[in-house]
Amino acid sequence: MSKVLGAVMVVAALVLAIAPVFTDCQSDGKWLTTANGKQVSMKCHWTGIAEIAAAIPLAIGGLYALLGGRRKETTRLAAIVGVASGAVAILLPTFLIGTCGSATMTCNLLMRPILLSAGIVAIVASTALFFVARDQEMPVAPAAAA
Amino acid sequence: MNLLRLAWKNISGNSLRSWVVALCALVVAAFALFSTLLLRGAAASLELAADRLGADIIVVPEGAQTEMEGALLMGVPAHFWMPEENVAKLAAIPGVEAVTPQVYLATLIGASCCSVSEMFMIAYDPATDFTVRPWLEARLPAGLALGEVIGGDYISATEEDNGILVYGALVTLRGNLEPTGTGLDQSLFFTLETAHELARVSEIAAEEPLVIPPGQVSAVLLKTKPGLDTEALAVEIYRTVPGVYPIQSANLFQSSRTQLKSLLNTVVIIMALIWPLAILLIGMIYLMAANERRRELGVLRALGATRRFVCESLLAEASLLAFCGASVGVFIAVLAIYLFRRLIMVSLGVPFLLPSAGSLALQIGIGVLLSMLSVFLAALFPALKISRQDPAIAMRE
Repeated sequence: MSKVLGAVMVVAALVLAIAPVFTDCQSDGKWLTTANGKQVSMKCHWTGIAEIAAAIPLAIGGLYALLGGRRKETTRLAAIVGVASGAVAILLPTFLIGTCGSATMTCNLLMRPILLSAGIVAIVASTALFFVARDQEMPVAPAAAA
Repeated sequence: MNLLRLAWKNISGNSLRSWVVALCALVVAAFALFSTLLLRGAAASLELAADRLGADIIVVPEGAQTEMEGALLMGVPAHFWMPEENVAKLAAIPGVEAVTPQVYLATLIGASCCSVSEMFMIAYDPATDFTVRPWLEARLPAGLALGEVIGGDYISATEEDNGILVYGALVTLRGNLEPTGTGLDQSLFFTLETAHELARVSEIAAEEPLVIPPGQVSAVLLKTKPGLDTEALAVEIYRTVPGVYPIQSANLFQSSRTQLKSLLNTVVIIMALIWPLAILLIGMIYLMAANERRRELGVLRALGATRRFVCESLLAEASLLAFCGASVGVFIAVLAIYLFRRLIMVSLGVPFLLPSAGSLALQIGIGVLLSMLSVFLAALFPALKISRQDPAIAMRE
């Protein structure tokens, strides 16, 4: 079960890191033009960049569970990190940085709901991993067994 | 061992079968709830938007009907103009009680002088207005002053002190209107005086100036005298005022209503395919499972379990799986409709309004019950069949 949950966490992390590249306003060819004519990225683009920072620890935690990490404490720690990463992934487009002002722009139509969905999935999968890890049996060390 | 415990043991005993049954329940519940929420939300939104306008007839330049509906429904900025003298001409037509002009504007795309790109803006005349003012009366009895705006439900301040940058001018957001699920939710409302001030400031402060052609308005909203035939009045307007097209509020959003009807037909067809297929699939799974578990159920009967207990245990197992699958399904449907509602609105070209908590709870309940009923019906025949079998024969086979 923890392998399945680990895979879900890795997929959520990939979505968090990759989806903004294709769904922010910059991908739609929209830039912010300053008064001196210079083109700069809109804030949804920076949200997308920041999501990579949330995706990395989530992916590491997910990979640990996916590759069959057996230490209960480490798995639980990975789950806690996963919950925190999922929460940050949700907070970035909603409160911390935000998205563009217009409700009809690509970032609000696509990027934001995708990031929120992936964040929710990450939190649910990580929470489940925490409880699954709690039930895991600790492997008996050969020395102790002897 | 009680019934539910036995059912749970059976579920965990065959995880593949359980997953398939739960998945069927999930699909039925998710699709039924998603489509119900979507169609009811769109219909409610259309009604509310027509009510909110408060006008019996909207007069737009000829050929601008579709653009007008697009602006009101989806918030797509509209750009059309007609001579201001049409206001006096329309007011002079017998049967017209009140007329008020409106000017439709839009912010620039990706310009630093506008906090929000491509925002639809409606400028109204406070002296004659009867459409925006009723919404404002509850919160702002004095109305909007110069430089003050009120936004739709989605509009929020982007600068300090409730400010929004529009064409280089900082306007103050005085509040938000109740949601309608239409383009009105992402529109900004202000007086004609503010519109002309924005146009003046934009000449020096914006990347591109805001142009309001002198002596032009975008649309004229009409209120008819009580009991008057609006259709006859619309014909009279079309005949006497050249270059305009009167849209009766009852006929407003006709294209969306047609779109909604075809969407409803599609949903009914898909549901008519999915539901029986899911019941058939679950029925087949339970029939196979019943054959597989003949010996196991025979032992149960030999240990003293009644036919009724065996039948009930199978039905409890099916109901438990249906409940779990349907619960996840309704969660996914609600999450998808909540998060992706704007994308759905834009893709399907229909407005959408989230239902109230009570209505949502009722629809969730119906979705779960529908799904549980499907699984229950599918499992009923196999459960009855196996429970009637003689335990001795079942154990020997």
